[in-house]
Amino acid sequence: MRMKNNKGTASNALFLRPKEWIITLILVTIIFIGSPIISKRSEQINDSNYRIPYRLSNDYWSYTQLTSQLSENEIPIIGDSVIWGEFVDNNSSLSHFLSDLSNRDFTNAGMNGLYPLALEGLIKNHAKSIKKRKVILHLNLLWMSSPERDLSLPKEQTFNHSQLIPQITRKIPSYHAPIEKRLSRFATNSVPFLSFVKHIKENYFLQRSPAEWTCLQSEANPEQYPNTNLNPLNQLLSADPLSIKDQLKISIKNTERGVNSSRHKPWSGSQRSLDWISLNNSLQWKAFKNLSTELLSRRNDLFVLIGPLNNHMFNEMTASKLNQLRDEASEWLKSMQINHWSPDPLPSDHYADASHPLTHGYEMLAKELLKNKSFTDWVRPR
Amino acid sequence: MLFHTWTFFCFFAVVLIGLILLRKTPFWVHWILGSSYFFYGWWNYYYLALIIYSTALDFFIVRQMERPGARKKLWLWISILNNLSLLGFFKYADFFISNINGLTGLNLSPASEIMPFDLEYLLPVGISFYTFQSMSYTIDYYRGKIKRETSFIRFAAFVSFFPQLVAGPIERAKNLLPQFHKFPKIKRQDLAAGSSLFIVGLFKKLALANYAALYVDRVYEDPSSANGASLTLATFAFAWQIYFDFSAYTDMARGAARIMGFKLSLNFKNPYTSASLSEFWSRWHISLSTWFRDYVYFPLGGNKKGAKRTYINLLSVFIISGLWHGAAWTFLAWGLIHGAGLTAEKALTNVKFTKIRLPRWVKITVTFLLVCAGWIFFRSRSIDEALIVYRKIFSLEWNDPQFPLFLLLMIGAVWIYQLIFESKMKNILTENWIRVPLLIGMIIYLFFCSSEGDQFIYFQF
Repeated sequence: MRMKNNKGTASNALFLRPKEWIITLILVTIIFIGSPIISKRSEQINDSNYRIPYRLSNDYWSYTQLTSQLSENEIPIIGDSVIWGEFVDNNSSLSHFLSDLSNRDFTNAGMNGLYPLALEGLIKNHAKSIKKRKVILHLNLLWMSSPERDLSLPKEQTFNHSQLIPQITRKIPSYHAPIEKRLSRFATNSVPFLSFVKHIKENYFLQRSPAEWTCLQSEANPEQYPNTNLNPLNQLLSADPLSIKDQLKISIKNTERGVNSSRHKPWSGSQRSLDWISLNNSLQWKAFKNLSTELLSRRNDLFVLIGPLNNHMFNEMTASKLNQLRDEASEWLKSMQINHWSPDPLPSDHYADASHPLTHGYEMLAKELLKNKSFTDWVRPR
Repeated sequence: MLFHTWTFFCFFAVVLIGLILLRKTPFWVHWILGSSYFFYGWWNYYYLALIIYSTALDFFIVRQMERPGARKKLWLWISILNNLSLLGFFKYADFFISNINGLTGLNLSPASEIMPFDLEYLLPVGISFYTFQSMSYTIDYYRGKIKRETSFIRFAAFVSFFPQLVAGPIERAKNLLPQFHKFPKIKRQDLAAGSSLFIVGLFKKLALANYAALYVDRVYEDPSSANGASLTLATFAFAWQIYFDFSAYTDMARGAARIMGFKLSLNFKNPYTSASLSEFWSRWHISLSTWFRDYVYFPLGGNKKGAKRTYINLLSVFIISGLWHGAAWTFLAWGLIHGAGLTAEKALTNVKFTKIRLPRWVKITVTFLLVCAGWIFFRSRSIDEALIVYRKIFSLEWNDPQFPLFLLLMIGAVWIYQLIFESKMKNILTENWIRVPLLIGMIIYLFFCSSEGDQFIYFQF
């Protein structure tokens, strides 16, 4: 059907009539809803030791994929880099050892760079399929070890995963993003299609828009722009989007991990003191409580693993304050009737720093967990 | 607050809801005025003082003009001088001071040092647009073309109407002011046309203008190290970038206004399909070129005082137009090129050999190249830099320009679309099987575009 010319106001603009707008909106909605679903089906996770790759640490769509593909009996372990395994490879994280040493499947649902405030946003917005199942949630008290880590200092800070923290509903003193950024992040968190678009950009266009991707400069030779003659639409059909990295000679920051890496070594140095803040004043603790409540409201059977932090690294006062916080956290969990366990610290040489275990540390922690009666009772299928 | 931001979407939703709720009360104009001031104050609330001053001044001057025995001409000049002084101080003071200092060896203080209350010396966004709009009201009243507006609120809403406040179209009182007299009837057709315009504008800005800018900025960042081919293509890309950027703003302005039931003037009409410079100026920034025609060119005598005077008038108008765009010699040179081009075009109209019939596409290409020659001055940071660009382009030391093929494809597609739109085959573009899929494609692609921190080029004017 033809459209009459708009006399006097004609420009090159495309005009749609009301009925055509309705058709357009219906079709756009179908694409909005349909493309993420098709993508979910086409991107299957088959590796039992899978964890979100480091380079996709900001791709929350991948997290949605991971959690939506959990089998009925799989137990996700949710947490920050301690659960993800900052210093170890895929085959040495806590979930790997737990699966290996028991007859249950545990999934590494940790993500590098998270903290309770971000974790709360991640689970609320990007892991809605975690419901009616057994879930292990890790509590890392180190996030309450200073007002700076707690994000409660009024001074502006830059930190990871700021997209995940509450943008509008809660005031985070260290977060000073302008309203436009907050609204944009709020929208990306709330609309699955936007999260899917971000996933496409992260995966296929090196975290850029297709236009920016065609103008990318080669790191090896700054005079070269190797994508200028490429069609970005073809990139979407590429079987291995990561090959573009080699093609562009662009290094994606990916630190070495695992027993053979130079980073995989016990911590060293003198004991230090930390400026712990009380749980009552802690934003991170409040976020952890919200997250636990959220998971319970989804009728999950929750088990909280507290710590264990590297007490050997702290002076006496710091360690004693940490124990006090741990007891307070434990009290709250008890009051909420949440199964939990707070293991003793691992041997000193099993830690790479204040909170991250090394390979043997994870193995030992898994063994300890499987010896703990409250855990074995909880983990047993009903 | 930029049109292509979430902040604007939220703001616009609130304004629209408020407008509909207040439709049966006389306060809907107050609501629009309040929203417009909020929109403008979002950049810097100090700017509000200027727009209120300019508005109040013209409103009260016209009121004085209406009094029996009033010295109308005197009041008119007071209005013009006041508006031009505002513009002059905020836009041109530093330019003139630095040039006077350079020429005479004097050491006059920069304008920033005479700002009161330690305020920052900034160019208020859109000052060139709203002062022109406000001034046109006074001049039109003086000429007896319009009646005096009796309501200050309505007049203030006309001057500050947020969709077109910061980058036009520069509306005439005759078109826009009457629309504030009666609550606009928002029809379904308005919603549909307004949304279409807004989406097309968004696409032009985010998918096309910003894309072209990636290449243009890279090459123009340091023209001395770029090769001739890159500079040629970057200039062509800039021609399209500035068109996409500015017409995007206009489209979105017209779209937002139309959704609220207001009709703003057309500002662009496929300018790169023009077969002459005079045609180009009847299609490019129409509201500004007609403003200069009506308020500068005609009062100077237009083409009624002989050939020589016509050429002088044309040159004067385009030099002023160049300076309107910015206080720099490069803009003046840009205006001069267009003025000279138009003068030559007019002078040659009666010369025999120019009557040879050339195919339209040749004329379009030549016009586009001439316009691009002007854009080199417009885009360069200095005259010296522009001359480097010219030298490099004509040096023929051309290497691989590494121009993104996808961008070329997109620009090519738009140009072909516009050429078809201006041809006899236009009807094919009005078929819904073309329009609907195109709009859907645009909407989906928009989500893949990066929208961070991109101002519109014309905000600086």
